[in-house]
Amino acid sequence: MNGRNLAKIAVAMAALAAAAVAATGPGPGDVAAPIQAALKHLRDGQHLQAEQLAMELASDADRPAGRAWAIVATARQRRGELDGAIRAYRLLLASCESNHVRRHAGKQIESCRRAQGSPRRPVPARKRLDKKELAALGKVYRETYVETSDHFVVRARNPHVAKLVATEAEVNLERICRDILAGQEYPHSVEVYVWANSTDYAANAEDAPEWSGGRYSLEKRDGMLVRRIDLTQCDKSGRFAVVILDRVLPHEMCHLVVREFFGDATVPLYLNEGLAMLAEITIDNDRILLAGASVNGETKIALPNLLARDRSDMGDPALYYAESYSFSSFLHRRLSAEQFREFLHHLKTGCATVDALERAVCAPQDEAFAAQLAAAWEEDAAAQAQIVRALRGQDEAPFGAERH
Amino acid sequence: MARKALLLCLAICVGSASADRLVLRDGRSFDGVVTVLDDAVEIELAYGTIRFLRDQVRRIEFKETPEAQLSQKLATVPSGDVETLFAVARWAQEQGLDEKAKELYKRILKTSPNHAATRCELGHMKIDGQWREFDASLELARGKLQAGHYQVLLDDILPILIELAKPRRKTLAVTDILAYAQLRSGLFAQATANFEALAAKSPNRQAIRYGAIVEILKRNADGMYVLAEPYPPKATILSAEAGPALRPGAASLSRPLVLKAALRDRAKEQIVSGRALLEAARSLEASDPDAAKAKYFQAEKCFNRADAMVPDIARSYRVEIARRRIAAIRNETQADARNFDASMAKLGNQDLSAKDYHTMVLRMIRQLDDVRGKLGTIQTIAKPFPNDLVLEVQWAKADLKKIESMRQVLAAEVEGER
Repeated sequence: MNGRNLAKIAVAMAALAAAAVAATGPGPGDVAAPIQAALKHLRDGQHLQAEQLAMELASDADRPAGRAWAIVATARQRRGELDGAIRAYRLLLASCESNHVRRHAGKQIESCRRAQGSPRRPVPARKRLDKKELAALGKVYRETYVETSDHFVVRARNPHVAKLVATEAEVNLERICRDILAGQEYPHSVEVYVWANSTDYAANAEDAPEWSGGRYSLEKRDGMLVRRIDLTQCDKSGRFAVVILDRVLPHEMCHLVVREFFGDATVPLYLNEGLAMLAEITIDNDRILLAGASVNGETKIALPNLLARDRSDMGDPALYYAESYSFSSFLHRRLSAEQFREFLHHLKTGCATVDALERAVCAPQDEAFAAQLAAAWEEDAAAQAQIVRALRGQDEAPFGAERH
Repeated sequence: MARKALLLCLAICVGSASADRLVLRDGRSFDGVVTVLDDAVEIELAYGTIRFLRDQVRRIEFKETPEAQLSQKLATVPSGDVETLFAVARWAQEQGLDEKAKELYKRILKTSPNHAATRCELGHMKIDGQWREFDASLELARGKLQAGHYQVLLDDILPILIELAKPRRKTLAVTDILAYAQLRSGLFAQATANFEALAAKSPNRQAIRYGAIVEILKRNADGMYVLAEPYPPKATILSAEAGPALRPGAASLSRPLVLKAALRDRAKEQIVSGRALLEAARSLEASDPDAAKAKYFQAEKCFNRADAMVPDIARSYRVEIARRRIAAIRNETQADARNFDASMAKLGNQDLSAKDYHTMVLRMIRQLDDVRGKLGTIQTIAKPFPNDLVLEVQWAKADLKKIESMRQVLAAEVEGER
């Protein structure tokens, strides 16, 4: 390379740089360097330094850099200073022109508030109700009592049962729509029949399997869509079957809400059953143990089979249900609420599970993803079972509906 | 020495500018390439060829061919005089004798391996103390970009590489490296300008990606991007412990992963628009198929833009559109099949005159041709997705086979009539 060429290059490069600076103006360049320095602190986990530097930029009396509040907020959120993070996000909202950034700030404020609140894990009825209450709930009268709430009309042969079921139904519906189905609306009315015992239930709940203690139905009658849940008040020993409140009612209600959401589209069986089990207030740790044991053994229903099977070929029902619960719970924990909602939407439009997941997280299609997903789920199932084994004997179920 | 070589080079250049000269008896003269024919002389000029009769020509002054001139020049080059040999090599190159020039450059390098001007002419570049050809230098520059050696790229390698790239039409490839090196060094304004240049000159899909980067950089001129979601997007599903490489929050666009996340956000915006159009198309499918088709087309454009920003991010939507378009065409072909069957029934049941029969058979052939065209369209639509639209392709193939055999029967009928 001779000197003349080098000189030409130098001139060209300088002109290029000058043109570029002229095109974008000097403004952002002034703050770019300190912003980048603050971001470096943030990346290196030096949250206090990042916050301090960004605060100086954001609070500059002459030329405040409003966008620097994003760094302040992120730094505070990462070190758990949630009140401060919310304040910084608010300041970011007030000073930022970008829709994208404003949406993010809004979401993070919500997320900080959620993190501040105590986990709202419902207390099972079997723990709330004392002997006297249980005895009262176990009585069966001749008369049918009707109790109504916002979404439910409950009929039972015990006024306390009718009232309790109506209250529990509302609480469960809200929880299922909010936590399980990621903000699903349910503007409908449901009839709930609480039959005195299994004989009464079998006689009145159409098509209900003998062994079941509850069922849901969604039928068209005289042009009207009738939503209905049938429950059994007392167990074989004649005592109030508290399980209807902790498991059967939320389970059947979840089926109903899911079915309503999917409309005419097919709900994959694993998800239908998995979500319903996830909706139950008391978690059956045996399912977790079974799923954990099966993924490491020969009995395993491999993920592609689990996703494809229907009622006619589910194989060992206990194992199928355990794995369905495990996989649905895995997805529910690993996806954000927004992503889970998207996942359900794409399933509804006819996507296969793996495609729906890739769409929900908005990631490029990748042939290896199905195998990676199976491996990640199996690892999770084994890990969850290990935790249950470690906690075995403790009363409280170890898993909440916490998300990553 | 260098001055002598330069003078010699200039003399060579002046000499080489002239060509054969044709002087006519009337005094006119032309410079060009002369060809002597039996009874005439042709001269090829810049603006065309002129022919003159032999009688009109006073004389022809033939010039030597460049090859002959080169031999003469080489004969005068003193042994070991690298600069003169270099000047001759450049002259040869200017005369279009590229191979000869290359041979001479290589001859120079045998005696003077570090002759910078020769290396420059050959597109060689010295990186890490070693001379490399242009393509190898480009690859090495890419490697240095990936390795994060931005300073050496910006200070030493790229300024030279960009000059070497010009005659080789590889400026875009070098500008690409330059823009990324600037971005990763925090030179956001310079990077923006170069990405803008790339967006203006690159082919369509790449232009979309570069354009998106320009927009991202312009909207975030301080180099800070606010990530709304973790990235990579599948990380939270696939690994609970490792988690995503990037958590939501503020991050620098100088980090390659942050730019990728920003591009994915832009692609997501396109997908959202595409999905809205897809929904609209779905709802129009039954009532207004043409409007639905137009919506599908618009949606496909959005998805193509998304895929240009992040490869295959919208692929499943494009497959869905292809599937729906095929279903719509299949509905049309079913209607065509019903019409064909009706014609067939008429042909069998009605007493037709020979002329009417002939017309009817020809009409049926046309009907089959229409369907054949539609099945061909199905195959074209399905072609980019052979593994996703297996059934659709198989059906189309089977139907085409059937149609072909029916067409042969009808064609034979027409032939038989003749």
